[in-house]
Amino acid sequence: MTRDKALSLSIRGLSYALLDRSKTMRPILDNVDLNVREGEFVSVVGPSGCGKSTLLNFISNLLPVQSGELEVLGAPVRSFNTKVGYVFQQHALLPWRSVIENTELGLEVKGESRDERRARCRDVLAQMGLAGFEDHYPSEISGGMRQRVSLARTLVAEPEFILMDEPFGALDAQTKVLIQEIFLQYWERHRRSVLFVTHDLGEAISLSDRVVVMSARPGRIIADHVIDLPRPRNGEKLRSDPRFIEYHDLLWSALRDEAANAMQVAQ
Amino acid sequence: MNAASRSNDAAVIRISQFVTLIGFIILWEVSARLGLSNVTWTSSPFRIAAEFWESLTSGELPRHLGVTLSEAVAGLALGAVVGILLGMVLGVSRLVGAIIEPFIMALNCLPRVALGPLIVMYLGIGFASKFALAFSLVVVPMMINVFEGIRSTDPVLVNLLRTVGASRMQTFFKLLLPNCIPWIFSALRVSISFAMIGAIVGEFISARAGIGYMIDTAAGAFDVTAMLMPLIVLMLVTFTFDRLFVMLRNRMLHWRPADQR
Repeated sequence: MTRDKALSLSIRGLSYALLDRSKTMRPILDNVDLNVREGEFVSVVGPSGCGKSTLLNFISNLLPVQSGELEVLGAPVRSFNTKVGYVFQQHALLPWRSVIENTELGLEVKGESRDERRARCRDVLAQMGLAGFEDHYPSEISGGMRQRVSLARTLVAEPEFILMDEPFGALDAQTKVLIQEIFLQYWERHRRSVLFVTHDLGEAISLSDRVVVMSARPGRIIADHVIDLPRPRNGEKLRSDPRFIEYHDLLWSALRDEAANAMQVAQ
Repeated sequence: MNAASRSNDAAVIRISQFVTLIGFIILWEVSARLGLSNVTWTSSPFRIAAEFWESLTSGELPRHLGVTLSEAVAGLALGAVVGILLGMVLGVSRLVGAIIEPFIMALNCLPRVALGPLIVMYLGIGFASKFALAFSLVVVPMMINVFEGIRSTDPVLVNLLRTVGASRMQTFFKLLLPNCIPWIFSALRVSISFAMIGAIVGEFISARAGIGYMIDTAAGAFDVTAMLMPLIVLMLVTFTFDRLFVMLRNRMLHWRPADQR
């Protein structure tokens, strides 16, 4: 692997097992190796239950490492790193806080002054297409808007490395496409390192520089493809591009047996 | 549903409530006057109003009401503060919470008004015993609600606070505490009437003043009118407290959709 740029993430031989109901150790992750270079957008796709989200929990320090090596932004993970942003699958907004109060949560915890953080939040909210909704409460806005607030909350802290756990998974198809566009534009301007977990292959290809495929549980990396499509990208046009379809076929052939396996395990 | 038909509904509700109330009072009065009901047993609105006026102007009612309210409000205030603090300690400290949980639940299963005679024995027949009884009725449900409110915190939100680097203190003040505010409000609301029950039951057992004392004395004299009058006054006062409380709550919980407050 070339090391022309610093690594935002370096995982070596990460394994993880949990005691299941019958008190036997069940492996969740099996010897995972994964690098994310600085400024690189990497997606992890895999069947449900393969441990994709668990992977993010290790990187963010929500779970302690059992075995293997893990370095984030050049250092082992020992505490919560505010340079690492985490966008959850659920929007995770605090219902008693308005849109802007939710957005400023991270800055507030860091102790940034109110005026400063409000100005930065307004700016990012506007980029997410939420200007004019600053004082609304989460219960007053749509699901797509909530997820954009959640994005804004992570982005406004200017993390160097962003973890995203199926952030658009719960949205309807049209909303999903629109939010992907908004996020893609933002990302292409700022180029932060991203590790993006999804089970949507099309989403992974249209956003990423690289797509990694994980096996059914226990999760292993079974394929790793660079997505060599020009940027800036347009999600909609991209989907009819023959190279997009080629990548899709390539990744799907790696994924389909695993998805079938996962279904059998679930049954 | 559009705004016009909703305000139309509201008007229908208000008018129906008003008609029901007036209808009930008229029916009661008329049946008493026509001799359909025996005023010795069921009194009449007019008699109760006259009794009310007499007691009000003589200063009897204000004095007794003041005694009962001070017992109930003091018990409510201290019970709420102590209950909230205990609930928080139990909710935040997983170990202490786990150890004490069955004791709290057992305490909750105890019919606490039955503690009345014991409390009066310990604390005498004055203010202290009624205050203590009101306190004991309020503190347990407050504690349980706050405890549940803290434990019900969405784990995703706890993870969120951790990932943005919040300290335990910050997590408490920015997440756990605001999360249990709706629980505190619903516990406070039931506690208003619990505190009144505590004060009244205490007065029934033994007292020299208070609404409970008034009712008990009137019962001794077989005077239904004098029993019903303080009862209705207490009901109206407690009802007013409840309405004021709901208004306050709706202001504080404006971030919740109206049907979830």
